[in-house]
Formats: sequence, structure tokens, C-alpha cells
Amino acid sequence: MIFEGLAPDAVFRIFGAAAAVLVALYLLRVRRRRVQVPFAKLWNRVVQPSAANAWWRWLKRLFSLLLQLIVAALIALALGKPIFPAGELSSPLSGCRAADAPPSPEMRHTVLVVDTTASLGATDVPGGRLGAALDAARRVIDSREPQEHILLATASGGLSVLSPFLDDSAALLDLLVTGVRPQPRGGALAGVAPALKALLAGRAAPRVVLVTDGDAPPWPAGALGELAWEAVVVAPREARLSDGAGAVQGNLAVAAFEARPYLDDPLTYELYLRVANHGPVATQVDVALASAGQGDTPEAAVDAASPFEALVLDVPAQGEVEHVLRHVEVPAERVLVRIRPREPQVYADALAADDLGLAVLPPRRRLRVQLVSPGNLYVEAALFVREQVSYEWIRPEQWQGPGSYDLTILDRFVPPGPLPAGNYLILAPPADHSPVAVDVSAGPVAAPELRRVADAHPIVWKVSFEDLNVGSMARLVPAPGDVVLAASTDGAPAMVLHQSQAGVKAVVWAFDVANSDLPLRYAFPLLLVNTLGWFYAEEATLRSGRVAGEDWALPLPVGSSGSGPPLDAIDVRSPRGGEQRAPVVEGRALVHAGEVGFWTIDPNGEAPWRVASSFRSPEESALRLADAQWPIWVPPAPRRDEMDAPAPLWSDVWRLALVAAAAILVLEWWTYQRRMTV
Amino acid sequence: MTVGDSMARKLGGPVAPGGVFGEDFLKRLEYLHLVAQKIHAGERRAERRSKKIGSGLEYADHRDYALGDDFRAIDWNVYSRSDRLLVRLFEEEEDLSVYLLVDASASMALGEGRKLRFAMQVAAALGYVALANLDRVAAATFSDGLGPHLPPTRGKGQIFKLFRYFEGTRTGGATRLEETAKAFAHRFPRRGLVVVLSDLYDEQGYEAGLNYLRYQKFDVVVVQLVDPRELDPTLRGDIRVVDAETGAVRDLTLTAPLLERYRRVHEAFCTEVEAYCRGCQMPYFRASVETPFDDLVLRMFRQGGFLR
Repeated sequence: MIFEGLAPDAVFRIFGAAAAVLVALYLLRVRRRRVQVPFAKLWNRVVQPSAANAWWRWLKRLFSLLLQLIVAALIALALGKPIFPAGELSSPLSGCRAADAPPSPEMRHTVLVVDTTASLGATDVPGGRLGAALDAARRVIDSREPQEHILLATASGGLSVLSPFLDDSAALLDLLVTGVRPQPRGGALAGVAPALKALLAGRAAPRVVLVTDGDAPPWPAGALGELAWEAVVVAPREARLSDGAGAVQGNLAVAAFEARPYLDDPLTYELYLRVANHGPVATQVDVALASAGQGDTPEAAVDAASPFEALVLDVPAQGEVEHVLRHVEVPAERVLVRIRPREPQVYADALAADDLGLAVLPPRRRLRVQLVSPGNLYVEAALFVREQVSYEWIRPEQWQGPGSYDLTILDRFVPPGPLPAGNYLILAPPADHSPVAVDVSAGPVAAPELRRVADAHPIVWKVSFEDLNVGSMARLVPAPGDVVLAASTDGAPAMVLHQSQAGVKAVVWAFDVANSDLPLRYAFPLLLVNTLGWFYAEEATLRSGRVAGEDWALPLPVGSSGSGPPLDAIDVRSPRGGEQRAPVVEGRALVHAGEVGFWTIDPNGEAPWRVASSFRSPEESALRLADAQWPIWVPPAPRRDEMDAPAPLWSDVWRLALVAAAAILVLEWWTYQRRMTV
Repeated sequence: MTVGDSMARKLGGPVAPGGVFGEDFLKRLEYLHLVAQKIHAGERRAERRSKKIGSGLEYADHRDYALGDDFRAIDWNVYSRSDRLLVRLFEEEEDLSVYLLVDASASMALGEGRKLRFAMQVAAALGYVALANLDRVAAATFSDGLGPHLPPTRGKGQIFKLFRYFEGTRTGGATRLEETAKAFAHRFPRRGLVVVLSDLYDEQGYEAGLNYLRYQKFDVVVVQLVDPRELDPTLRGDIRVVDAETGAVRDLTLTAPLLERYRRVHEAFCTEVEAYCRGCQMPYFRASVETPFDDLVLRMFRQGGFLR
């Protein structure tokens, strides 16, 4: 027997409590009703004291108590909702054992999982993928067998359970309509396999039915263990709307949208946009930039948006286009970008969820720089003239770490041991401690002629090394992942961008500026400004826009904890008003952000700041059918003799228990009324 | 004018609008009187015969001549036929005393006092007829002893005195017939007809009291009153019966079979009383309080024992 309601120990506790109350009531002496009679002597002739009568009367009362206890036990049992798995119960009507009985519907448990990743919002199938998924789920529920219990859940990165195991089709359909919505995130189905196994552990005839659009690959072999599973693919290749007389089906997506401040320009911002085309043909895309309206949800932001810029981009088929808008005067703190096909009658954008990008303009502040050098007037002078920069010069022997500085310039000095996490500009590092390895075996590179390598990188953007004289430079050996910004004409790296997993972000110059004429060139302050600006923008970018559905590690601004101890948690509010308390680890707030919109981060209750969260998932935006073998769900053939037959009464013991309890109550009432048990 | 008003005018007394002796009672009372007169039509008034042999005019019996007897009493016709000297005996006429003895114990007051009310109505009816016949009527209540009494009175006009007496009856106490009989005989030495109206629920037995009255030369008429509701209580289950007079308690479980047994026991008790009364040649009437009182009175008239 399986208890689907209360656990057996809870059932026993309830019965125990009820029995104790009943016995206590019976033990309490029932006060006899006093009746005045004219002549008691006559009654004495009627009733003779008899030992036999006494114990018979005691037995009659005990019989009444036993009936009450049986009723209490039956009700407690019904609360546990026990059911017999198939094969354990004989048919009381035929009197035969289950093995001999004619075939009857077996008890089974099904988890109906609806894939609600963002691609479910696509409209490239008739009625839309969401409509098709709801129809498919409805068919699964309607074909529920009499003994089948279904649990409804959605999967979009994680599993969300919408119902317990139910045998009520109407309730399941209601939950289907109200609870299934595409979510602004992707996610592999493999992540929900452990949850499915846990839900179906110990259940009779377990199985999983997955309703999916097929864009996410199914569970890898063995992920569900012994669980049987089937799928309904609502957007197979043949169902997807194809070109022909109508528009070409494709999908445009905002792949990136960021706002970056300028170090020396307090009035304008740089807006970075990347648009992807997942369709089969190139198309023109209308891009509209606007100030977001009041309200943190994307709907509110779009409804009251105020456009300030528009442009058209040509995006190739299955390709991306980057576009940087420089020195844009943005009229509001929160901005959004919307894209749509320029000719929708030619190109149909199937998924609207990825057509919106949100960003928050990063706040402006002075960059704090620490210069660790024996003395370098060139660098000091370049820093001094920058209004947005405040710097402090210390000697190498005074070095105590990057502290809370936005950037640390290490001039001809690198502390021993691994560098602490932080931002660094390292000039002519000593070979033994450089974060980028230095090959000393071949000796320094003498008189290198430098050129740009990473032409588009902001650090060396518009920097010319032509005719630059450098006495010598160390031979840097970049590690995998390092970006060479500039090199000698024979390929020796001269400027390398290095980022480590330990949180070190460093731009390393291989040469001493004093051993070159770079300080006399315009390139020198430009390089410094670019480097400073890059570090400044990088940090600002980290807070301007994020991807919905991910776990964020937001760096808290310096001074967030005020004069108190470091914060260990902060308050976070989602776009739809949900509150959560995010832990802070090593100065970063860990936020699980599942919604699209503007999030509010409030470290100390005084100066909340916002982070924009947009949907970005190349896999979901691609709307590509996964190359996979799906075990297709086949609806069971209807049983003609049991199509409309209700579930047998004896299959659900709790119903029998309640009927028996009611019958015994009637019996007890009847015997009480006839004073048989009192 | 109603019959009650008419009676009240004739008899000079008020008529209570309701109560034990209301308009309806008086109507029936007048009817009973008419019936009583009809039954004994032709008899002279105040011709209740007592059993006293005296110097009346009506022949009663013969006895042998004894020295000193009045010669005028010798029946010479008998002597001429039988040569025996026999003296004629004559009945002496005297007024009959009717005593109405009403049980006012606690058992009579149970069940809204239906038995007591019925007893008072029957007693009043009998008293009215007796007063109409110019008999002397006295009334007394009893419980554990003789209660307040109404002295013998004569004349129809005294009926309201009888009503007022009964309306002032106070109930309570246990039934003690023997003590009552002794006190009664002592209080009322003039012999006559005693009508005992009671349920006869005497813990010590009814026989001693009735016997005492018989021994004191009273003519006893027993009217046993029964309330059917006492035989069919509505309660069931565990109850504690409490004797209304003695306070004795008894725990029992009232079921349908038990109730049936009680009814049989009660019936046997009533049969015992009847058999006893018959054996002692005492007229016995058993009446349910649900029957009209005038039915009982008429039955008493027809079966005899009250009207002679």
C-alpha cells in the first residue's frame, strides 16, 4: 500500500489522538438523567440486579466505543489516501485474485514536463510554439488513463513543479493554462534529470512525458536512470513555417547591448550594440534606441519609452553585426534598444523575446589610481592632467596591495608571489615576478619596431606606434587567453592584456617608457587614457547590463558598507517586485536573476543602484532543432468498455474507508437511537 | 347567560373563568345531577337509607319477642299463622354522610398534576350530587396523614365552598393510607360513605388503610386513578428514577422491553387492587385521567355503590 496523502506516521498520530479523546469521553461517567416516578417500588419489581446484566451492559457500551474507534481509524486512514499499486488488490466483486482477474488499468505515475525555455515563444509554427505545446500537453492529459496520476512541471534551466500527482484532469488543465509560460532563459534538459528521478522515486509505473519544441537536446543516455520517457516535439522541422509565398522565417536577436562612459567626457556615453541574424537570408534591421519608461518590468519600460536614436543595420544571414555609437547624449539613466525587421513581409522575426536590450548608464566617478614606482614623472604627469583621475604615488617598498584602487600601475616592479586580484598596468616587469612570463634565455629584444596587433581593441584604438623608438624590451611569452595588443614587427609581444582566474586583470608593457621616446609622443597619454578608460569602462560595463537567468556576481562599489563592517548580504528587488537577500562574498553580491527588466540593488539602504537584465541566449535565439532521436509519445488507444467508466471504487482505499466510516456512523446512530449501546 | 352563570346565580357563588372547576366543569356537573335524578326518579328526597334499625316507619325485619318489648310491635298476622310471637323491626331514616377523601401526595402532583386535578373534579362532582340529594358532604385531603378538611355541610349552595376547598389543596408528602384512615375515623366519628380517590401508591401498602375504614363501619368506595403518561416515558437509555414521594433512587437502563415489563407490572398492581377491593366487597373503579371525569361519575352511578 502506498500513502499519497499524509505519511503513515502522521496517520497513526492522528488516530492515536482521536482514540485518546474518545476513550477519555467514554471513561468520563455519563451523568444519568433523573426521572421522577410516582412509585419506584413498581420499578424495583421490574429491574432485578443481575451480575449477568451488568457485564452485558458494560459490553454494550464497549461496543459503542469500538464503533467510534473504528470510525476514527477509517477517517485517519482516508487522510493518508492509501492506494494499492497494480496487482496487489483483488477484485471484491468477482472474488478472484488480481492475477486471475481480467486486465484492469494499472496505477502509473507520470511527470508531464513542458519545456518553457525562451524558444517556446517563437511563432514559426502554426499557432505559435506555446500554443502547440499547450495543445500537446492537453492531449497528454486528456488521454490520461483511469489509474494514472500526473504531475505537471515546467523546465527552463531548472524544474518548476506546478502540481502534485493528480488524477483530476480538469485541475491539471487549469494549471496548464495558468502556469505554462515561456521564460526568458535557456537551459539544458539535463539539469532537471535529478529532480525528475527524485519525484518519481518509489512510484508505481513511473514515466516522464516531455513536451518540447526540440531546440534543446534531450537527456543524455543514462541521465534519467531507469525512468521511461517519451516526448512530444511541437516544432519538428516539418512543422516549422517555411518560406514560400510568405515571409522568410528567421529570428533577429540583440546579442549585446552595453553603455560605457567616457573617462574625459561627462556628458556622453558610448553605446555598444551587437545584432544577430539567425535566419537563412540577410536582412535589414531597424534599430530604435530609447530612454526606458518608469517601471522596472520590460513591458513598462517599453510602453513609456522615449526614442532618441534610430538606425538601420544590415545583418548577414546566420551572422552578427557590431555597432558602436560614440558620444551619444543619453537623456535618461535607463536605456533600451528594440530591433525589428525593416521589411517584416519579407523577413518574419519568429521570436520576440530577444528583440529587446536593456542597459543602465553606469554612474560617473573619479578613477582612483595607485602608482607604485621608484619615480616616473612621465606617468605622473600623464595622470595628473586627467580630471577624472586621482592618483597616489608610493615607492615599491611601500607596496601593500591593490587595496580599493581602481587601477594599480606597477612601474618596473612586481611584488613577489602571485598578484592579488585587481586591475594592473605593469610597465617593464622584472622577469622573475611578471604575470606574463618573460623569456630571459634569448635576452631582451633590442630596438623593436612596434605595431598594433589588436587594431580594434579600445586600449590601442587609434594609437600609432609608427617611428616609435624603443631601446629594448623583454621577451614576453603570453599564455593562452592573453591578448597581444602590440608587438614588434618580428612578432615579439610588446603589450599584452592578461586576465587570470584569480581575478587579476593586467595590461603588461614589455619595455621601460624611460627607455623609449614614447613619453614624448602623443601616443603615450593616449595609451594611458585608453588603458584607464578601458579599465573604467570594463567595470562600469559589469554593472550596466546582465543576462537574465544567470547567477550574477555583482561587485559592490567601494564604500558600500559605509563605516561599518563589510556587508555579508544585501537587499535585491526584482523587476516584478520580488525581494531577495543576496549574500556577499569577497565584495561581490551573488544574485539569482531570473527576470528580464531592471533590478534594484540596495547595499546599505541609502543609495540603491540598478542593473539591467536582458534575455540573451544564442542557443534559444537560433531556433535550431536539435539533432536528436526523440522517443515519441503515442497516445494510448481508448478502451471502448472503459472509456467513460469511472475509476473502480476499490482502487482508492481512502474512498472505501470513508464509505465504511459513514456506514458505521449510521449503524452507531441506529443502535444508539434504539438504546442498544447505551 | 351560560349554564355556569345560571348555576352561579342559583347557588349564589362565583364562577371561575378557568381552572379546575371552570365553565365546562359546571356544565357537566349540572348534567350529572340531572342524570342522577333520573336514575333515582320517584324516590323521596333525603331518603338515603342508612343501615340503622330504629324507630322509623319502614318495615325492616322480624325478631322473636323478648320480655319487655312493646306489644304494639308484635306482628299479630304472623302469630295467627304460626303461633310465634315476632316483633316487627323498622328502619330509621337518617341523612347519609358522604366523605370525599382525595389523595394529595407528591405522586398525585406529578405530570402537571393531572391525577390530582382529575380527582378533585370527580370528588367535586360526587359532592355536588350528594349535596343536591341533601346529603351531608365533607372533604379531606391526605398524604402522609390527614390534611386540612372541609367540615360536613349540606345544601347545593355549599358546592362552591367545596370548590374553594379543593382549589386550595396543597400537594406533597408520601401516601400513608393507614395513618390517614386512623386520623379520619377519629376526626369523623359519624359513619357514612367514604370515597377514596387516589393512585394508591402507598409504600406501606394500601390494604391496611382501607381495611381500617371498613372496620370502622365506613362504606368505602375506591377510585384508583392512573395517568397513562406514567406508563410511557419518552426518555430512553441510562436514567436514574427518583421516587417522587420517598426520594428513593434506582439506576436503570430504560429500553423498550423494560418498559413493556413495567407496564405489565403496573397492570398486575392495578389488578391486585381490584381483586382486593372486590374481595372486601368495596366498590372499585379504575379511571384513566385522560377519560372525561363525567364518564367515570356516570359509570359510578350506573354500577352503583354511590347512588342508593
